[in-house]
Amino acid sequence: MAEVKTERKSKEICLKEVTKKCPKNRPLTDSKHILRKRLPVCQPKRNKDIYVTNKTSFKAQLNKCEKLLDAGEPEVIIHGLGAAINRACNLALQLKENHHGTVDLDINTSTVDIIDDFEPLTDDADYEVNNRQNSAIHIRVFRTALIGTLKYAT
Amino acid sequence: MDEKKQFDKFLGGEEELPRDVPMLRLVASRASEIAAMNYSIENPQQTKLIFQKLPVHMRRRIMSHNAKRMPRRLREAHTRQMAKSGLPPKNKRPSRKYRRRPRNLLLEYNRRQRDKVWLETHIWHAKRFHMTEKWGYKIPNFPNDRCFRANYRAIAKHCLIQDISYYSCIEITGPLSFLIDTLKRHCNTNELTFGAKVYLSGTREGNLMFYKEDGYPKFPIGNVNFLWKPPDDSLLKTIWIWVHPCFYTDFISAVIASFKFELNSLQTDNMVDISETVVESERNDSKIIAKKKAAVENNCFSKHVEYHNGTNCTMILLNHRLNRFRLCGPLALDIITNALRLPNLELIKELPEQEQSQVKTNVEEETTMEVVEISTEVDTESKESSGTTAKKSWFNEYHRKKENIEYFKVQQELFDVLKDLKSPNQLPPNIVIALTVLDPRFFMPQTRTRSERNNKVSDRIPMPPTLANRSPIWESDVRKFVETNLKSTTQINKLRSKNLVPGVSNDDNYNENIISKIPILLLQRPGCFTDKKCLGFTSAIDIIIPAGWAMPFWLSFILRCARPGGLKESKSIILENLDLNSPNFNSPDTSAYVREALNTKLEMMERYFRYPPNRRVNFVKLGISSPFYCEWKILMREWTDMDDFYVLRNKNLLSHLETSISNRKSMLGKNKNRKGRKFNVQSTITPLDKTLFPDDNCLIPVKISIEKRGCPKNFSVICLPSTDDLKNYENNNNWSGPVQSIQKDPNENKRKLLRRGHLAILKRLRRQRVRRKRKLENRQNILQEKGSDINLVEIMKRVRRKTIKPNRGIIEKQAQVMSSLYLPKCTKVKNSCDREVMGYVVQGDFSFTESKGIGLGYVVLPSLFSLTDKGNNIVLVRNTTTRQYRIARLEILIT
Repeated sequence: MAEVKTERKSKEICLKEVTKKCPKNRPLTDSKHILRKRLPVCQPKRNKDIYVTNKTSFKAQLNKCEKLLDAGEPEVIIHGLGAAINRACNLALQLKENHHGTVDLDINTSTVDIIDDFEPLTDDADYEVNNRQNSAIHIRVFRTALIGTLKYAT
Repeated sequence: MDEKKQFDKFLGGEEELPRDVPMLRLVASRASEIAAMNYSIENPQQTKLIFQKLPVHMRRRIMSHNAKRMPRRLREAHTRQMAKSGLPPKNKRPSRKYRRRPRNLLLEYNRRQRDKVWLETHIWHAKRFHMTEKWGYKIPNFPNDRCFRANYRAIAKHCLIQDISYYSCIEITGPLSFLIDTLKRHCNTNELTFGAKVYLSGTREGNLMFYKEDGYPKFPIGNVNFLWKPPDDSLLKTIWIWVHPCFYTDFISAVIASFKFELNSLQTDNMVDISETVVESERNDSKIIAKKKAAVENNCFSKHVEYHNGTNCTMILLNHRLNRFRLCGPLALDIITNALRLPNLELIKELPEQEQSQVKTNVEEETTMEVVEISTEVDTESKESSGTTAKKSWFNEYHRKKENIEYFKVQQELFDVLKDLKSPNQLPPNIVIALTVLDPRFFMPQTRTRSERNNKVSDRIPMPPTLANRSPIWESDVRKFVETNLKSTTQINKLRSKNLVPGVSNDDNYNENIISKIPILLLQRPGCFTDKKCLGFTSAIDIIIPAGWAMPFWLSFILRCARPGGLKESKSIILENLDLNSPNFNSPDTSAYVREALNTKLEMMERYFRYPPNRRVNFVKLGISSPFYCEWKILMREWTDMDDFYVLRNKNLLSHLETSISNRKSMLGKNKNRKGRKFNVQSTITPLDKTLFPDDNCLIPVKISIEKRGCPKNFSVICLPSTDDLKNYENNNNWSGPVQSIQKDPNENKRKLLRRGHLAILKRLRRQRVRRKRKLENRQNILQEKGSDINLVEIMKRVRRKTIKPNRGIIEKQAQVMSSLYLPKCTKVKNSCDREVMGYVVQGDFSFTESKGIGLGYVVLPSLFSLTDKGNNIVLVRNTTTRQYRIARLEILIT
């Protein structure tokens, strides 16, 4: 998960930028532009990766994690970005509590580069890009007591 | 011992045997008996059919329609009998084997596409999709597997592919300033226009509403996508405009009028020549391919239409010259990068020019005859097209220029970056990426295999690089070359079969020189960007491919587990995304909308009257004045006293409306925020300023989301709630809405009387017919007795034909009258039911993203004022087939 912070040399090699970068704390609204958020760079999306959002109900996310653990997955990785960090922590802690200490947490934090596009509203304006960073959390929830699959348990 | 036989007399009877036999009399009487017997054999006087005379164990069901299954001795009589009973002996359907012979199949295909256009992937789709005829095309509507939710899942999590080649491309070339000025008059100048700085470099695709000349805001035509050719040395600029076929003619006539274009007639000859020569060169090869090709080319080239005008502008209609696929969903990039491979430029660059050609020919001779043939084909083609230079494919020719090699390198690097991305949304919005790829048939997996998800974390998100959009696809020569040199799959398979180890296993080892290279364009579509939905939902990649190449590309994407979709999916994407800027969605003020709406009205009316009367919904009783058509004009007249209307597209005004309405929502406190956050909106209330709006006769696009139960359907009405309704809802949160009172149907009795009268008429007519028939039969009998041979049956038939015609007229007239009594002409909308009607839902259904019923609709501006006066954004929605109003929230859609 630390790869997120690797240097961005490669970007400079391959891409010639046309749009100018704007100052770091650019106001989000502008008379000439409209903000369009881009999807942040994702971590891998395997079966065990769970990306937490604030829109999905907490219960559903919890159920999803528990199902995965019950199906014999040795570890679940919960990712939370920005405002969802809080919820990711809650989710992990709740899992720990529900499993009575048979799972443990391994917590990593990172910073994610986020790009916002500013789409022009008038003919003479150009696209602008705002690079900002946001913090993210990656919680590895893993079993300490290795019991087999609970698939057939009643 | 032999006792003599005794007769009557000797036994004491009275009969006596005569002594002599009168020969003549005996023979005469026997002869008549024999004749009678013969006659009865020839004209059997029995009711049974010959077929029925067979013993049961010999009867077969199939004998009734296949005479050859009868025993041979009965066959003739049987066929005669069948013919007599009115069934003409059926024409034999040609055998399947005969019908499937390539030539016959092709003839059949050509016959079937005489009056409409097939997409290149038509046959593939026709086997798997329900096809509809629309806008002069046969378009896949929805897949036969009926898994509609799976399509949503594909959009959200995997990849949905659609063939949207029915969008037509129009190429306009001319001096930049003239182009921009003329086109600018067709758009809203307050927003981005054709000449916007962001689009001119050709790095991004634009989308805007196209109006009639100086027609903003009242005369829109439809949404178009456009793309400028990247700038080069020439003074003339080129733009491609992609137009939906639904308003294609409107668009073309508007452009012709504003540019003052004139049709140029002398263009097709050159093209036809080429196609002929190709056909000749391939004569040795299987004739079928040649024919197929000729058919394809005739399709493409003969329709080449060019327009010119005095100011050096040219318009070329590139119908069916370019294919366009849309890959929607996060796996789109995975699939594209898996399916496509870039050629290795170094192979060409290393060799000096002459050496290279030598090596190439050597290779060709070594490998197969096939390749030689292909290369000869290449030769003829290049001679035809350029007439001067080398015998090479366009690829080598094109990359002789240094700058083109540079572009290629940039694109190659970009392609590597694409491999690591997880969603098309991670690319800059609307970016254009040009690529040159190898024929994908050489890299197809043997079975359908899911493209591997790349688990690498990429940190490189591309900015729009300036050179990535240079593409040879803009050159018509290159496109033509690529199209005419499409090797058929049979040719490729022959090539494979001649290998030392035949098969597809060593496809990777072919010399790249014999694999065709195709220029393509990738266009990113950003998808959803609001906070309300998942970021990047329905973000897609459009891929533009030269004509003829649709099938290879399509198959290679399908084999990477892209899920195919049709028109229905396009519609559901619009609903989920609330995307009013899609060319597929017609707003009510366009003429395309009126056409479509009238069509659907006719269709739905037909379906309605196919039901038996007691299964028809009585819309009059439900207070629905027009169930199959949105009567905007009447609605507008009732609210504003004005007949014409237009859709408000001014973003500032719309957002002003939006803020003044959405603030009310939170004031009411009904909108419980799940997150428990509190908004301090009370301080930012902006009261609605009605003077800002120039016209009252506007329609406002709105989104309807149901609060409790129910799901809005198409044509459902949006109504203003009464104060009682609001109070009820406030008191009881589970209250799902008022119920419409049953209205009186003034036509009910009329219909009953009319039906009774009609039945009586029918009965009388029937009696007349029977009487007439009986009379004729009597007369026939009399005539027969008299021995005359006048056949009255023929006369009878003629008479019947004459009498039935007016009867049909009576029936049709009755149907018309009845239909007008069932669905009386709409005269009022606003006060057609208990609550005042604000507008209609144009498209409504259950939304998978919001997991409740939502609808896209339009409401009249003054009605919105009265809604804001009530102080909230709650409205009532009622489907056409129910009396139950449902409580819903209204939001303004800012397009």
